[in-house]
Amino acid sequence: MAFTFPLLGSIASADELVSSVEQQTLTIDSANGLSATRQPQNFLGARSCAASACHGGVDPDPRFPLSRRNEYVQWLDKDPHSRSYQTLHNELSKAILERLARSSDDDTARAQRLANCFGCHNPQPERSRHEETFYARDAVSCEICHGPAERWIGPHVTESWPHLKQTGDAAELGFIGTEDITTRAKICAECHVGSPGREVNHDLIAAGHPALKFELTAYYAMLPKHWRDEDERRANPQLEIALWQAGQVACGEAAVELLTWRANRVVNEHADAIWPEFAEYDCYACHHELVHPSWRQTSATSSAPLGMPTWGSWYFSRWKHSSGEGLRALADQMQQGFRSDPKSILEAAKVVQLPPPTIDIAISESANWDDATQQYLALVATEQFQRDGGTSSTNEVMTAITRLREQLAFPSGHDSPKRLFEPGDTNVTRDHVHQSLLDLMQQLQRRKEN
Amino acid sequence: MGFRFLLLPLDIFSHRVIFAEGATGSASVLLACNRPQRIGNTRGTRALSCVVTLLFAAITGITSMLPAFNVELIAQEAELNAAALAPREPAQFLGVDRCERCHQAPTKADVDSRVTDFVLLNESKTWASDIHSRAFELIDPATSSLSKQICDKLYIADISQAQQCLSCHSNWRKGDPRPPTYQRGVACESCHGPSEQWDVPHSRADWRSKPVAEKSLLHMIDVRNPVDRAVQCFSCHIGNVLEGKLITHEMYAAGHPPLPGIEIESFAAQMPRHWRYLDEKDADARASRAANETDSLPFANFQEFLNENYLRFGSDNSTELILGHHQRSAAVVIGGVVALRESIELLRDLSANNQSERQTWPELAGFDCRSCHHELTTPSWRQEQRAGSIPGRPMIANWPTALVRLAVGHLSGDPASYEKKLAEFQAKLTAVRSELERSPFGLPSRVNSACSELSDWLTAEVIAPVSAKPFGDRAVTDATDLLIVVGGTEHHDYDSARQIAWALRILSCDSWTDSARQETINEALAALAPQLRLDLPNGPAHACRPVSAIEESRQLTPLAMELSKALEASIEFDSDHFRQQMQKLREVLR
Repeated sequence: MAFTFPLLGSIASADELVSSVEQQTLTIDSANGLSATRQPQNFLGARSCAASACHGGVDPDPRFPLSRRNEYVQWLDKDPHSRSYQTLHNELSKAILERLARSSDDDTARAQRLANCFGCHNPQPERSRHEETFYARDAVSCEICHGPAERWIGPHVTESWPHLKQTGDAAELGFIGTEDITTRAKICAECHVGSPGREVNHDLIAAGHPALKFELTAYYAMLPKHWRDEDERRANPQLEIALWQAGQVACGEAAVELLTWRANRVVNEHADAIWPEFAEYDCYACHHELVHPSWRQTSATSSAPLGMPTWGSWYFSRWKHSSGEGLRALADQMQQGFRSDPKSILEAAKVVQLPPPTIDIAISESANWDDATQQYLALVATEQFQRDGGTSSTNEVMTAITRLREQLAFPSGHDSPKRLFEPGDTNVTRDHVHQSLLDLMQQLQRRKEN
Repeated sequence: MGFRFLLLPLDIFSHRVIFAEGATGSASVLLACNRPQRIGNTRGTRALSCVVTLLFAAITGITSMLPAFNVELIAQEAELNAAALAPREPAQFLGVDRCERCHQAPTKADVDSRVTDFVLLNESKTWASDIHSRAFELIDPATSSLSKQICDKLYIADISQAQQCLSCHSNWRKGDPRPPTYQRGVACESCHGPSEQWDVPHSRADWRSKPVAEKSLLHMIDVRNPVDRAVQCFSCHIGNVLEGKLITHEMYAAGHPPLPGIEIESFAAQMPRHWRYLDEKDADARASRAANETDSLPFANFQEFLNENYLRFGSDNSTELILGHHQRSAAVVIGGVVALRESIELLRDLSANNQSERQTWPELAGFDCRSCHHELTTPSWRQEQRAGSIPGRPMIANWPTALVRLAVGHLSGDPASYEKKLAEFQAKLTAVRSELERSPFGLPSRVNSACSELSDWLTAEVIAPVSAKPFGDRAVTDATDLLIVVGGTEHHDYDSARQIAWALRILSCDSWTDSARQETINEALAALAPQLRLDLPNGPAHACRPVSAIEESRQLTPLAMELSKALEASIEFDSDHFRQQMQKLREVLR
């Protein structure tokens, strides 16, 4: 399968990009997977869904059990995904492009860089058979998650649609069934973790793009829902746990796929492709001020050799105790040095198995901020699960959550947990965080028993 | 003159040891003849071991006083006298105690005969209060918890056998046998060279007027040469792969304190001083001559000494020129370039080493610690200010480049040639940086050749010519002005700002001609001193002419105790404030 992107020539900004759509095209191969179903000619654009009688109503329509009928407006008005394209025009984005241009500024490099931006910020292929209806600034709109609609826009309003979904014919037509939790998680992970051809690598982060640290339930909680979330939770009290597990697995798998793509690029495409890729590692293993004494030097919780950052500290934190051999072997390869052989990485990545982790893991000493935060998010998901099951919220639990959140939060102006875990500060040492995690776990335990 | 010869017990390495009081004065000389052992010279090739021979200090009257078994030595001496001073490799370390026999304290006879006009003879005593002398002792895991932590993490069971630590903590160079008095830390021979072959001849009066080249063949290091001296200091304070003096990133991760950027003359100035500067020697010798009204003094051959040992500025080698040469300011300027060359050669050797052992490249220790080790902030000056460089690629430290311009300035007669030379330098430096940025850490082979090019260029185009150019009053003023401009116009990190402030402090010491100007600069530096920690821990307070600080009971603080404060200072450093202060200084001086 191929995405087509305009060849961007000397274009430096997204504005120029859009105006040059008509020029030439550059083909970028994408991997198999969900993206494979997104054939460029099948995208119709959000406006195809936005008729006021369809999904473009102003308020939810209670007469329809399946659809709220105001999805488009909800998305347009509240959902940040609708503004992902605009984001490319802000000052930060311009600065990022300018900084990235310092590395290589030839046409191909520019085109690839912008294709990488567009891969997530405006993922529809620019050229559509329906150019007249296609709105180039659609950002992350309906079809990005639900599938390109050309072939199912008709059938999905017919009475046979539920049947088509059951038989799998809907999927054949390009429809992506988001009822399935695993599918939902995978869709998110494509951008929020990254996928072949769409990555937030260390160059991009260093140029100013926020580092990606995706955890499904946390993002899910913040997303303005354009579906009937309460109904779903009532029908399925296990939803939060299922989301958490599906999120962990989808993110882990996406991370392995991304690593495979990166290693493959070095082995099979060009030897001077970026390697090592620092974004694979724990950001704060390196990004901390040098202080003395340092907990990093006195504790023995890191799985990495001396002076090497932990690989996959965010995405594989939940398998650190129960991982299959595959993951351990891959981690060892990645951590043996910055010149780990990409060929062996490819081999090691093939056999990684990621069984769904269990959420009620015992709190363990946190190896790093990523690990502590993943533990915190698992506990928060457990709390949501308890409430979905009918337990009422208690002050003790909320206090414990708030305390942890404050301890883990980055100080104002910072993108790293400044001085977290370092001795000297009043309540943010490693021991304090560990204690708070234990407290919250015990509170939840107690609430469950009551 | 009287002669005394004593036979001393053998040490385990020696066949025989003779303690002699030389004929040229009362300075004691200890002779040794050691069994052949493999040892390297400081930098170059390593030769096969050779038959041990002995040099004799005593000139006359020896034969009758020697025991019969030393007849062999006499024969060897005759041979050597014939062949002049025949250099051999390798050379051995004899140990600190050998030096101490003469250099602990001058005897009355030494003073009376004015040997002390030339040499203080209390160097060892002064050295006892220098922290170098405790470089090994202070890292004993039994007493230092930091050292214990590092040893535990690196699985070092016996630090006295750990060459990777002792390489710098007692000058145990890679491939050499461990120095006999390694417990005495960085001692005499660490800087002056393994003394096996020059120990005896250096006590002769004629030694001081021998050509430097002859001395260095016997492995004495010419510490009067600012380049050689800097290379020697930097072998540990920056690192030297060939000598096995390298703090790896693993060692840092285990807890070894980060190496601070070093400015050679400032670091030297804060050692308890066991040497005299040239003009001091001259003054002492002159005073001595005046008092005695005699020419038969040991230091009467002063001009000869200058000619052979000191700076050679082409054909113009007059005493006036040499004494008008600002030795310490010149050392700052030269040291600044040598620091860059040695850092670049460190990177060159790290990348070369790894063409066969690719797994060890990159050695992160060759890069700037704070390239990665900083908190992430928004907005970030790194993203704002590094125009032209690729964000996110680890880079080498900036501080070794901070003073290079002074040398370029000193070599250039006019602004145009300065700009030209500077551009040439920057192109070479950029080539190295680009290789390092091409991919994260760069490709070792390409990094290696870019480093070689820069280092060769620095040697030929900057270090060699700048060492041969006298540094007069005008040069001090020019360098000072340039430094203040540089300090006030660019972004400097903590270590680079220290380079600038330290260099200014030494240059200011040499600004005798304008005391008002000197005072203004000193005031500005005094204000910056606390935040930049310009005074080193354990050093005597800064003074332009520090006296030899001999404090026998001096308590030296392990540097680890200062570590948290030192790291804090670099975190708290305010680059803008520094730049503003330099701008202000410039205004005031105008």
